[in-house]
Amino acid sequence: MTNSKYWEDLILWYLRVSLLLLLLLLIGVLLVIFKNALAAFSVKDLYLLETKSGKKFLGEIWLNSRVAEDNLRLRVGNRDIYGKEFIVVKKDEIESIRVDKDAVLVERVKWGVFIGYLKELIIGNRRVDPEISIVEKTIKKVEKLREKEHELSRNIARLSNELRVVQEKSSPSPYVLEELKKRIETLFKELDNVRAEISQYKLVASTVEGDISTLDMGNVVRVVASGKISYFKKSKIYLSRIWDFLSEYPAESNTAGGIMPAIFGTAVLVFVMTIMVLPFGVIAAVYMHEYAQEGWLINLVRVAVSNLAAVPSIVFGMFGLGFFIYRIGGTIDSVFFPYKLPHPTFGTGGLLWASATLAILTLPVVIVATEEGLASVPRVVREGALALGATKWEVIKGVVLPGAIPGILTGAILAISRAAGEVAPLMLVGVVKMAPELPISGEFPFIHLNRKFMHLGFHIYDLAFQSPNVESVEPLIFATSAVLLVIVLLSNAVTISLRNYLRKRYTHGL
Amino acid sequence: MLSRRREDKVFSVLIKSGGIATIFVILSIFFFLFWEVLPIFVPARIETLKITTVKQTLKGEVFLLDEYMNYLISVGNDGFKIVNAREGDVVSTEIINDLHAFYLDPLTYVLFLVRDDATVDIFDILWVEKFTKFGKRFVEPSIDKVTSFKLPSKVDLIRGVKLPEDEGYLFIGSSKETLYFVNLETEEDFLTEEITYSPRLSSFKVEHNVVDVAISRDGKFICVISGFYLSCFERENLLSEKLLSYTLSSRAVAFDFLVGDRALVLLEDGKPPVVWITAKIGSEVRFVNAKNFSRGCKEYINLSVSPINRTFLAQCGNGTFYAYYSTNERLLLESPAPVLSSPIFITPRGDHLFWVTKDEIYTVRFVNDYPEISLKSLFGKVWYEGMDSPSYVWQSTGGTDSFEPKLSLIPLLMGTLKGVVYSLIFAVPISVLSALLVSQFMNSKQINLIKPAVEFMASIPTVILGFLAALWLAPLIERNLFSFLVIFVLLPFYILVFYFVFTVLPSDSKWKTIGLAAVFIYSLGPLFHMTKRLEYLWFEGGFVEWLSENGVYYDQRNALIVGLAVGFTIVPIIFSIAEDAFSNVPKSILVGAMALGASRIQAVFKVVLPAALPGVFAGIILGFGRAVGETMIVLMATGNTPILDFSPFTGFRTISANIAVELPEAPLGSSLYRVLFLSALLLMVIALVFNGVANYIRMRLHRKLKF
Repeated sequence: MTNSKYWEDLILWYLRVSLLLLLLLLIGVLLVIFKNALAAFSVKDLYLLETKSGKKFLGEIWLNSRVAEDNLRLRVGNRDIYGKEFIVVKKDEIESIRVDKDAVLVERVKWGVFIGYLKELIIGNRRVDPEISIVEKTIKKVEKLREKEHELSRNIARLSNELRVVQEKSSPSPYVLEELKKRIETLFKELDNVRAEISQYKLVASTVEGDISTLDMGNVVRVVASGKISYFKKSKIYLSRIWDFLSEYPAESNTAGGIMPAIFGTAVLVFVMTIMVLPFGVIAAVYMHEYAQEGWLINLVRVAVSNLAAVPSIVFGMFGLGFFIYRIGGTIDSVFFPYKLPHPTFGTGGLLWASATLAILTLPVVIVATEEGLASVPRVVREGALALGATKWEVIKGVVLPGAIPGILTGAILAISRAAGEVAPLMLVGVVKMAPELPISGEFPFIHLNRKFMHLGFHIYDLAFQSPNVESVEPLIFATSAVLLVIVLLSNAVTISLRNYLRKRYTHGL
Repeated sequence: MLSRRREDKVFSVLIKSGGIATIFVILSIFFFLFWEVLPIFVPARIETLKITTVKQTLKGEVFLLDEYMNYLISVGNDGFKIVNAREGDVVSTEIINDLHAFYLDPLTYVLFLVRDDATVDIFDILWVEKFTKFGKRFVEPSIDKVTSFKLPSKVDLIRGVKLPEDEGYLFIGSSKETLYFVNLETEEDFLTEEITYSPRLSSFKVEHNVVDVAISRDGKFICVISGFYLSCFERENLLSEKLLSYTLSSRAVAFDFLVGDRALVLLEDGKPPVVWITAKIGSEVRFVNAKNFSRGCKEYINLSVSPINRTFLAQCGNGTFYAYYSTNERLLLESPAPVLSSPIFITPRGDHLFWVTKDEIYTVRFVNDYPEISLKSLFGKVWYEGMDSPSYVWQSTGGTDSFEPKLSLIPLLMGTLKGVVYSLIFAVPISVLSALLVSQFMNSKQINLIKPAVEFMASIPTVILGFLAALWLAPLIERNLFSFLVIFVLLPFYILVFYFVFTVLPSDSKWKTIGLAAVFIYSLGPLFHMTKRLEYLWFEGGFVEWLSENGVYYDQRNALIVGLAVGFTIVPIIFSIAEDAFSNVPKSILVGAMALGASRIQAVFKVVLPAALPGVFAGIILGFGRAVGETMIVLMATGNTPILDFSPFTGFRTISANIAVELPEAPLGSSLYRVLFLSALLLMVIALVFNGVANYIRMRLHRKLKF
């Protein structure tokens, strides 16, 4: 008897370990993503490393899964000088390694970071000692100038556009033309002035080898002297780096900068999809539950709809490409935009078709959830309303639909959380690595449904597999993954809690 | 009252029509795939005959029609003519009185004429691009003399080709047992940029009378029929090293190379066509007879090869003609020809066929959009040109126009299966065992903690898992493969050790479990280092290198990695279905078994597990269905090489990843586009069947357990 007790306990142990492994997997994945994502923005110490052969390296320590245990990976920056951002040193070749308090890291718009020592700050003809506070003030000043520069170039682009429109008219008024040209000219002059002013500011720095390098302040985003600043300052830089990442456009062919358009594209995509899927899903469910004759046909439809959820998402993508883009879009083009052919307007991937594809993908979810909601409205209530003389539509409008709203909401949120993480179908229907314009703008008609768009999920895929420089992009991928994960997990958490809340309300209410 | 009723009616109509329309649209996805695949099952056919009466008698024997079918070039013993093929007017005539022999190459558009004084003239037929008033493109032929040279003696039979990239021309002429081979290389004058051709002549003696000669259009191979013997040579080793020797059994009517220059077709009376393709036998190139065709003529008139793909046509003396496709040995079409005993020709785009009699041109549309797709080429072994044996290959596009598409779905299906199997191996034990634990041995508080966590797991976007697998996990495992394998094997025993510690330790609080779990996790580190040392000792630090030295190929992104990542996505599915099945087994059965003296474990394993087994099975099937359709992970974490093996250390390509890779590049309506839709249809059918089976099992189980 005792013998078998041993065995039984042992079996239980194996069960426990398997659950432990399952939870470890989940926690492990989350840990890896969030740890790496957060580490991507942290202010790291700069190390000065000397090898036995006398080589000197200055940089941050960045380890990843590709670096073997007996190696050390340093981010030495200075891509414009060294050609690559990271170097790997064997640990047993290291002579000495220590934190270098004097070294600074300069974040730049182009060429990634510069790591070295500050020598001088040049303002016009003056040469100033590069104290951090002065440098930072200068950066702020230059930043304002650069904003001005951006605004000027935006205005020039807008006016040139206007000019083109006026010129294309059959009889352009010479007065307007002259006026516009004059304004553009003055703006150009102003722009030249601002640019000249920006180019006055320069930062002279040296690399660890002592090579002097002059950095244009217009190219400098931030100077971080990690050895000399307080923890408070460090966390401030940390937060502002995260903010920049979330709010800025990608730079240097997606290998730097932020992911704002991707977040924006994902949000607009999911929003448009929700607007599409909700009315149709609800109408279909109301039809199936309230109007259709019960029988084998409607049961077959029900089975077919619920089985659609098992169809691989890439198949929906093919449907989107073959049906929406080639058939419907192609027809729209040949009927309404024949003058633009062979350049397609709607006959190519875009926001509209991507949203429609995702809407079809999530429609079964919404239909099933709404039907459940409709079924939860008790017969008594309907019959009571009918007995009071209400028509069928009035019963549905006044009694059934309000009662089914929780179900509809659940369906909507389920649809959103499924759509936000879906990438495979989007690859076929209009997601791009770099969209020149956001799908929403101040220009008429404000929402541009035919524009291509960026997407967080595709951004991850693109960074990981199409990027020329995976090494330096890797932290960005982790950060993007974390953002996507947060969005998906949040909407999922909302679903779960909403479901629990509604369950409670139902059981209490009735 | 009226308006209320009207409102009711209006909304009733609106909802009915809207609902039906919505349902129709989403269900149309099932039919849309069929619709897109359907055209490949339509056999090749010919349509609408057009007859143009030519206003002069044509004495030509060989004809060429431009791609818009505006102009016919007719070459005969009296010279050549250009005829307006729409109106029937003769546009230009070039009468040559001393013409002895001629050859028009239908694929490289070059014309060779031999005069009575053994002079050979070479003409290029150029299609000059022009546009109509309305911007429509058309071409006008122009026949330009390139060069001419003199042979030592008159020849009766001539053949020649224009080499690609303006490298010059090859010419072969023969009379009886003499064979002249002339290579005209292009020479460009540096100063004047004037192009000249210098003929280099070599002559050979052959044992028997030369009957026919074929030159591959890249100038690499030359085949000769002399007497009853067919032999092929490389151009450099003409008549010395045979790549093919074959004895004819009856009259050889025609033979020619197909597009791509790696397949040779021979028409012999009374036999189906014979096709040889180049193959690598050992390190040498040989022509092998790898194709079998089902039908043929008693008496052939001519052979016409398509300029765009491996289609070729044979005209029979009895007035039928056949269209074949070389790659998949398909008989595309058998049809009566509009005219008896006239040779068949094909237009440059391969979409029209024509026959020319003395005064009429018969043109038919030849609908042959998907010749390369057949059951054999999709699912069977095919011996492709240049390979050493028949094989299953997926390679849809190549660098050149004459590339032979290889559209076998077998590597993709097997790749899909491989990915699914490895992910199930990983996911099934862990999820089923966990489900058993959660449903049978945990209280509701613990369950409420674990179930949302597993649901969380299901919602992690697969693109993130794919990226992690490819860029984080794959290098990690490559460096520590040995440790991972050892720990994987050792783990069950290692747990055993902990179990004994657990039973030996006194106390019985939950802290003991938690503490041991912590020790367990922490001890994995030292264990890992131990295995690293072992690897260093046994394999000199490189297990992966050792593997590849011993013939086991290791890809960084392989089935193991994909198994882990895809397994991660299907663990929640199997877990929740299995958990559902376990907890649906009525408590009364469990309690009853325990009341009869069974221990908890006995009751769970002997009563609950068997009762819920169909549900567990359904969960596994659902997981299978989900893994089949997984795209992003396999796209990112495998090398996407469509190879056929089951090694855990190599990559593969699945149907879904293949679609994601190739569909954006596939032109609308092309063969590749249709095959991709066919593969998507397969994918959908697999997923639906598995889903249906799983749901059916669950439904039955539900009914059974309800009593």
